Amino acid sequence: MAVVLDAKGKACPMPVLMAKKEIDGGNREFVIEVDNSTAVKNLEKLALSQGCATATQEKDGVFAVAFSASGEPVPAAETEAEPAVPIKGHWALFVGHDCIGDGERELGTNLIRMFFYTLSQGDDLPKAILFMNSGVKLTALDEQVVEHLKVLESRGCEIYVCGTCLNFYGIADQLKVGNVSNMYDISKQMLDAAKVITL
Amino acid sequence: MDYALIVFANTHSAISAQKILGEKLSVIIMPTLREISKSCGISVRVNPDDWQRASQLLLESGMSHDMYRIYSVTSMDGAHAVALLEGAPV
Repeated sequence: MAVVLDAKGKACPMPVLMAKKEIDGGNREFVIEVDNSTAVKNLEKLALSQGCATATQEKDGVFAVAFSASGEPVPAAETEAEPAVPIKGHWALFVGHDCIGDGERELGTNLIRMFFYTLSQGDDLPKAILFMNSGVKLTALDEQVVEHLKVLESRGCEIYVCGTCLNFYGIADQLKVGNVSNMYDISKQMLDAAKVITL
Repeated sequence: MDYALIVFANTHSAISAQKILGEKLSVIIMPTLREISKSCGISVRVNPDDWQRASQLLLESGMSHDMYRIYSVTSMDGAHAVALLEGAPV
């Protein structure tokens, strides 16, 4: 009968420390019981780094993670998780207004023009730029923003413009840049992105 | 010179200048370059050939000459070389 460690009700990182102690003590065949899936994931990660295999069984909210010896330890560096939100990389810009912030409209209009100017001149470009609600007016009516968006598009940014919104504002026939899109595509771009910056 | 940049003493002058100049010239609103300090954050970019005309239009509109300065801007190696074309040096 394998050793059974009871780590139920113990907060992270206690279950991992308990398992590590058991392994360090020379036992690689044991069962540890925890009560949350995060602990299971962390235990599986530990097992991988220590050259153990795991099999997990759940019953009434209790997870029994059975460790067994198998293979070679994997260096820790190879098992470390990616950061949840990469600082650089595939990101999306969501534009739900035709100006930046609340307050004097004229100021907000110029701020958004300057934002797109700066973005178009920079090196860290979004994969997708998503326009909704009054944000769609920028793609049809604001000459300066349209020019910056054309530059961004030529540099590889995908521009999605909400068709429902263009229609609502009666400017569908005035769209000057980007592709008419829908909620499915726009929400998919948001979900696929590592981060979404909203204006 | 890649373009001429008009910088202003305050934001309100910048916004009204943009409206005045936008009626006659091709203008781009852009953030004041980091290389140019001590002016408001909104600048107006005009084509290299248009800066004298721009200055004339601003003066005709009643804007005082000490409310703006004009620089020439040349991009090189990711930075900007700026030189004062008109207005009092800071």
